[in-house]
Amino acid sequence: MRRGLPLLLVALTLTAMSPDGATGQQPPILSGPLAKLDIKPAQIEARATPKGTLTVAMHFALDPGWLDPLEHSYAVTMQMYDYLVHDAMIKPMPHAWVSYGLAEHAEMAADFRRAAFRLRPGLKFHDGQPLTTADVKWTYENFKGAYAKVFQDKLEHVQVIDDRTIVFHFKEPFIDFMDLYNGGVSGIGWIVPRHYYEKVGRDGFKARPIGAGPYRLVSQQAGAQMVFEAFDGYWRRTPATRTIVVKGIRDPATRMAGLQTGELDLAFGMTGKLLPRLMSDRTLRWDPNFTGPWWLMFPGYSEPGSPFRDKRVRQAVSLAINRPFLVKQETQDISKPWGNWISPENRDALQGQDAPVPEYNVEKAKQLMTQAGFPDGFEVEYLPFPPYFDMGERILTDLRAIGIRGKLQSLEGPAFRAKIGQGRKGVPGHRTIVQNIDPRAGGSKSRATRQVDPADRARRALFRAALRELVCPRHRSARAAGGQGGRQILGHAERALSVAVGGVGGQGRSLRGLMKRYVLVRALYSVVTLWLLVTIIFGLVRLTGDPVAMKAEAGADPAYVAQLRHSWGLDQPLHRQYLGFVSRLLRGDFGHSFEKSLPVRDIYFERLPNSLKLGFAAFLFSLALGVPFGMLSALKVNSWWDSAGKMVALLGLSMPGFFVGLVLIIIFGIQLGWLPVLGKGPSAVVLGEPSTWITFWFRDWAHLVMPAFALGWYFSGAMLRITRSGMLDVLGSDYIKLVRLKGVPESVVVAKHALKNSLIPVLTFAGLNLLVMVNVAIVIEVIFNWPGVGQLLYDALSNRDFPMVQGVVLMSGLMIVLLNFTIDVLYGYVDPRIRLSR
Amino acid sequence: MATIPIGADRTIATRRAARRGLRALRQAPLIPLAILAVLVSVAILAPVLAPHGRLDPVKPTQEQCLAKYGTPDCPYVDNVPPFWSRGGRLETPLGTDFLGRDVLSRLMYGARISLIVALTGALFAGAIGTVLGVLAGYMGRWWDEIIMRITDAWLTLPSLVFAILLSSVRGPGLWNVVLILALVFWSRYSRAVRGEVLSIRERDFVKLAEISGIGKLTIIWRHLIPNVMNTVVVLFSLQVGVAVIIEASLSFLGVGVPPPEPSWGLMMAQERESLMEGRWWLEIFPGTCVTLLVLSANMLGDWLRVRLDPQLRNR
Repeated sequence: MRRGLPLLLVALTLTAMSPDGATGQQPPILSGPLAKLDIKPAQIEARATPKGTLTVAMHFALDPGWLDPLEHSYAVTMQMYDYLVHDAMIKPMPHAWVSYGLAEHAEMAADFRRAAFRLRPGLKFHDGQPLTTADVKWTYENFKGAYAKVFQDKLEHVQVIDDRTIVFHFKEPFIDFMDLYNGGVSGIGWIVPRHYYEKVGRDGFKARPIGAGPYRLVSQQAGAQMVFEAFDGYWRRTPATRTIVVKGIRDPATRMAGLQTGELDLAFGMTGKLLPRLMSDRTLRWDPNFTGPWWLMFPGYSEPGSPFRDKRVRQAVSLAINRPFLVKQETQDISKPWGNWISPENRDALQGQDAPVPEYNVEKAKQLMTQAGFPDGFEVEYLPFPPYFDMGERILTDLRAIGIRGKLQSLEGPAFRAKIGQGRKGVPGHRTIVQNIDPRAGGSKSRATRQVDPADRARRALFRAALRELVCPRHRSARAAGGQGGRQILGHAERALSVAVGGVGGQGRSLRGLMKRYVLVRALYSVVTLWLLVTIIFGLVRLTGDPVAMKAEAGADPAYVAQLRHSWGLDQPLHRQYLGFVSRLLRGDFGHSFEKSLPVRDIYFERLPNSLKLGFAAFLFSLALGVPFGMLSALKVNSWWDSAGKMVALLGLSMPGFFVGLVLIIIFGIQLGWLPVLGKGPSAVVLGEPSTWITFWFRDWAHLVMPAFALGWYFSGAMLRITRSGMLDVLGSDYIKLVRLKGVPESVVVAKHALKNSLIPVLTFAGLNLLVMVNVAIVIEVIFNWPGVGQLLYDALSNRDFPMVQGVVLMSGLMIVLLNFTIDVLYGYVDPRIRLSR
Repeated sequence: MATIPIGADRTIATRRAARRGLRALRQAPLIPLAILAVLVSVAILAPVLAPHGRLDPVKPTQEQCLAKYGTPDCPYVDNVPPFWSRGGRLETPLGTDFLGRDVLSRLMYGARISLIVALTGALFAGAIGTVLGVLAGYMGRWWDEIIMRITDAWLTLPSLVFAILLSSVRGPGLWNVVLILALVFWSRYSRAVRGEVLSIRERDFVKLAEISGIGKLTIIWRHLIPNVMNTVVVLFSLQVGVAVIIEASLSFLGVGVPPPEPSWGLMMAQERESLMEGRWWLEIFPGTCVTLLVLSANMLGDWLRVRLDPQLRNR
């Protein structure tokens, strides 16, 4: 309160000033004639206490890179986040396209060679440090995003007059400087705190940025969630809402469920099928936002092979589409059929003319198709704007009437952009992108002959000899015995142990030596498997296309594209990329995520606890369902128990995960309202707070119930089968027969003698299942918006985020290989025959 | 000593065989077999049985258009409920989807696509996996090492990774999904087949064949492959079910069979918002079909496993 009062006074005086236009009373900075600027004064409002929480769902994965204005690119800049965390010198506001922000006064010399700004007094970053012209200068000089080259090339020097006054001197007239410097156009005007950025570095800043905006970032989980808290030191007003939670939820059905259960306050992208329900729900309010017009694109239409090259075909397509009905079906008549790709909202561009809705006339369209030489139509692959795939299918249905048979390609956003970009090879900007997609480009040319060092050659020969010695003597691997004879091995576990204790000094080798050798061979196998995995994933990922083409928008500046390519190391020949990749991996460096702008390792380990929690819960559930039922059905073969257990387990195997998940959401989330449907709940593992390392596992169980059930049910079927057959094997073995002959009661036979041995294969298998549940529970994590590794993998795959895909797959591969290695070694200890076979 | 009429032993043998066959038939899982038979025949006869086309909307009547849009003429009426609900019609017994297409017809054609994808996917995977497994098990040495290391590495790759990467290379398509399934599943066969071959190759008939100088390829073709077929068939029947589920999941994630062709998985995936809107029939009917198919394939697989494994036969 004591701090609040002076601020309040400042605010009041400013409010009193603002209606007159703050600029009018400002003393001039520059000498000489000035250009006229149209910058509106800021609307300073009274201060109040922020309250409440607003939970927002975006329809795509969240990128921490959005929080760093220094790297704003053309295509994927989400300015909403600038407005929350940062503040710009001048920026668009609801009342004006250019309005004063951090600057209270700006000037431009009449020759456009100097621009000057005066900052508001008393500006502060979230950490309490003052915002000065030094930060403005540093931000300008370190800006790397869109138009950076223009800004750097034109700049002569920056003159800091005092803490609040700064002048930019240009080499030549920079007429559009004020337009480009506007926060709505580039990121350079959003001021970044120099002291903080230099302290925490590029990644540290993206993970935990601070700025001078109305909201502080409290926490974020890359891709999944950002939490913002109101900053009461903001100069313009205190924000109305205390906390803003932003979630990235890509599945529309999940967003809808969140709205209906009240877990979301606001959701974007509620299109198509969901609209009627939304509009009829009295507890919800909808608001059409301006998203731009819809038009059809057929990539490559201008190329000689394309049927769309013929103008008559394009006219026929237009005639065949029933626009009014389409609009009614898809948007419930909110939108408006229109005859131009410039929408009615941008009337200026249309120079005041209306574009009439084009005619709908299938007969005429058919005639045109016949004239163009396609009386029977043709087949086409069609890419609609993601995520409006229903709309795409409606259009395809219309086109079928004139014989154009389409296949809908529903790739995600970046892939869509890349495809569109590839299709227009005539545009020079695209040629550079397209040419470089060829993975051989550069690779074949720049291969130089290499001198092999003799010492190196000798080392390699030695290595090869050692390898042969280790691998070749008897090629039948222990895995064979483990694989086909697993049951016997396990059945004889006890005997094997006693044999091992007695010692089998076969072939003059000590038991310990054999074991050591066996472990070594298994370790070598694991390494080879991992290396193969690394190579396979590297190759597969490179085959799919150029990530740059997907990140850069069609028509992007070739210099910018080249810079992106260089910063991702994609301009190097392929073998270099591979070697660099492997050597970085060996140092534990998985690279930076393309999409989420942070190190892959950090993102992965941030998500892993969530996946472990879900995986373990599902695992326990699958054990609880699978093992007892499996044993019962083995003990009472062909009984009622047997069939019932089998049915429960097989049903789990027979339904796709998203189906089970949706039904659960509808029944327990929406109808009964018992369980939350979104995500994992507020608890999280925080590195700095050791208490959360433990409490995390025991909190928010309500969130866990449905996803764990849906995931665990599928795996319980397999658990049941393994338990049943393991138990049957043991029950049929000689030692159990012997025990029974001795007259031991059946319950003791089962509990004491059979159970232990029959559980060994179950646990082996269960371990693998657990790893699968932790690492690739993609569908379940997507439908429940669980911020785990599976969701991360899905985001990464659909955005072609190569380093992220590689990281997740390699981590899960590493876990599986380590588990297999451990199991092999344990088998080796338990059963001497495995060791002796080597 | 009674005289035995000539040919009596044969009739007895025939009768015994017939009785054995009958017993096997009686033990056979008749319900799953019947379900599979119905699904397969529907798939084959879809063009004859389906009341409407699979891609084009059903032409609505004037009353329907008037009731829904207030005009006598409209291209289609979407989301008509099944015939027993209010507003349902017998022309579209299971209702229509968001584009006014007949759900029953789409289910029938969908059976084709789902069966083709699952069967051919599992079949190709079986072929690749069997060949590689036999080679690894029989040729031994470096063959074994290389094939098994690749198999190990392959097993750790999540199937969706393949699916999304492949569909972005090859574009979407039915055969793309088949290729994905084949590429994902072969490693499961090769592991099992190799284990089997390792024990068969030590058996006398293989050793004798080797001694008499028969070529390796002939041994593989005449002696090994027929002997691992049991394992392969059992695995195949189990993998068919998994393939159907994977196909559905791929559609859910947007990389399966491309619309507008109807596959069950795609129908479920596309109508998941409809389920929230209360149009349950659009989700439950394809869901039931998928469940029935996978359930039957699994039950048949379990039965086959017991039949074909002499150790398990009497349990």
